[in-house]
Amino acid sequence: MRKLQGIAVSSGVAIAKAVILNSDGQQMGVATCAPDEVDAEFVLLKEALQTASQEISACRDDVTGKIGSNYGAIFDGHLLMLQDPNLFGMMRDGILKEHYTAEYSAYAALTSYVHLFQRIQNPLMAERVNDVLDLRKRLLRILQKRKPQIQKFDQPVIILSRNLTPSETASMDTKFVMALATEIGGPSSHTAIVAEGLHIPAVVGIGPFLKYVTSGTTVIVDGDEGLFVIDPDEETLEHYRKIQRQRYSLNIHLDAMRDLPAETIDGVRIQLLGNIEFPQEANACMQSNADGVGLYRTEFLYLSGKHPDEEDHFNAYKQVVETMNGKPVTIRTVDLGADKLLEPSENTGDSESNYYINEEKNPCLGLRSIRLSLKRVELFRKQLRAIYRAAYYGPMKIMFPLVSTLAEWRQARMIAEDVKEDLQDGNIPFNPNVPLGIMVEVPSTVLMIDQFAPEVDFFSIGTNDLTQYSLAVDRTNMDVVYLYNSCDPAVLKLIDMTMRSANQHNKAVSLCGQLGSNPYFTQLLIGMGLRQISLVPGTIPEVKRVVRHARVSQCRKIAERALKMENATEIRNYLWSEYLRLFPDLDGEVF
Amino acid sequence: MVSNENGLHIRPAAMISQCASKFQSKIELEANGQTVDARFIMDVLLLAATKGTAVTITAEGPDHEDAAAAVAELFKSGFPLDGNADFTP
Repeated sequence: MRKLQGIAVSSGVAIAKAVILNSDGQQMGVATCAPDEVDAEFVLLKEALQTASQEISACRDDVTGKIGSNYGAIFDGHLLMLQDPNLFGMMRDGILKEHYTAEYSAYAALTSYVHLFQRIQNPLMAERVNDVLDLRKRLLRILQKRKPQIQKFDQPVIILSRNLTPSETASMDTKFVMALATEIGGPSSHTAIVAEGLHIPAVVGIGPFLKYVTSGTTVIVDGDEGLFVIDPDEETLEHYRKIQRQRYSLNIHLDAMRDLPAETIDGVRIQLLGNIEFPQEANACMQSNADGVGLYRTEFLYLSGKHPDEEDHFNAYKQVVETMNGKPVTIRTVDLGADKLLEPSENTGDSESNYYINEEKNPCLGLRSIRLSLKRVELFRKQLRAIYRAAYYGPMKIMFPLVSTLAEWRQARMIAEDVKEDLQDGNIPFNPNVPLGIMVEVPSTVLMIDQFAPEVDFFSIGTNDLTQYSLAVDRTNMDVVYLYNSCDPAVLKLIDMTMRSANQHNKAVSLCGQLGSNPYFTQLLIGMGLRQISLVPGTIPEVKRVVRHARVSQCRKIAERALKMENATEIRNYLWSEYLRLFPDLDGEVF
Repeated sequence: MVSNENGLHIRPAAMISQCASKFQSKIELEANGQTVDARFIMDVLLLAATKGTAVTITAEGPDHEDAAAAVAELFKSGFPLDGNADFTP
């Protein structure tokens, strides 16, 4: 047995016999032709380019049909690269001036680009070399009059190769190809992206391993952990078979639960809502039968580099509201730092673009989110107008992010009221009954929660920022990230304070952030009194499974006990054991 | 300025070269000390311009103003795709 570590690029586990795919045509010596053959070689080249274009177009259509036009676009890029006039010029001159054969001329021209791409320092950009290799391989194969190497299988296999090109990956027969493993390649290569789109587990960048393995050997690809195992022993095989069985039964179970309500054994209904960013993601919420959208992030509108106008906002929001078909949509007003909102550009006459920003020392503590909206009121009003107009087409709620004082909340509410009056005066269709709430993500707001509670329509606890601000830790800083634990007792205390105050004032509370998406924490949240949890749409089935096995009475005991604990590890382990008590057969699953 | 998350990867490079091919003027892009002809997608890719890289556009020819403006607009708009604004390929 040999166990190797690579880069996990597409999740899932597979066990099967290996099939080694040769990376052919890597090296070629100079080949020339007689002067009277030059014209014929040039014709051969042009015909080969034609054939290659047709093949790539067919590949694009195939991929687009299988997994969508976003993936198909990779091959549009290949087509354009193949048609690059400089590349053509090099291949033509190779034949006409140097008297190379068509094959060698194509090899030499593309190889010179391979070398150029290999010299790029940035890894993301350097991975485009794989696209050039794909073209070279294709063109040489056509010139050698060979058929594409399409492997037909009649049993499950795992494909091993030094490297796979995007088109080789796209042409995999997903019925029998269980997984992929390659010696080289990186996480942002098109090969990796296509594998993920096809849901084939894949590990790349393993390093040289082909010399240790022959076709027919049993291998394991663990696309979750990035592991590749050659000739596994019985113990390892059993470990992975168990993971496969668990996944299989879990998936069947989760599918069957889709249309059942998220209700505890003792009959308490928990609303499970989806977190989304792009309007299309509303479809994923409907697919997992979410009770609505609990967090609609609106930053994407600002990140394309230009200002969204009111119609851009309105169209995006209306699309989500209509997709959700009567289920409520809670929208968060823009949650950006000043640095992300605008890059001052000199050429546009747009006065908004000429807004200069001071460089910030602590962007997380700076001009961002509601602070930015209150400073740039014209942008804020534009967004609010669009929301009130979109709410005409279905129920919406508005929440303001990063509110840290009462004054901010009141000012935001006032502007919202003012926007409604404007819409009224303009006789524009809108919905005046849109509940207004705040995100609870700054400790100062929790400490003042009794003052907020009578005024707001609802609270939404954002656990990611609440953790960051209460523990004063930057979760992207590797040196201190160990402090970042959403189940730290301090964070749980803040959530508990919020729940108590909200219940006293009879205000709804929802929770979004990573804590909500993790099924191990679901019982704790229910026990603390949460009845609305907003989570990543794909995780709704797993959390729903916990809800349907839980009892509120037991959840309360769990919460009570967790709140008395002293550190995150203790709490985490305890919640894990309580989770296992619901599903005893899951022992061994990795936490 | 390259504003989209993944830099000048295949799709933006394709948009630039397609756009540049529509004009008579010669359009050049300069970034990281290299200058390339915007019509050639391979060369645009070789600029390896990541997010935040400053790119200078120059156009020379009868329609240079329109040509430069059209390419600049692509950069400003972040190379929009239908729907999802910044997909990797």
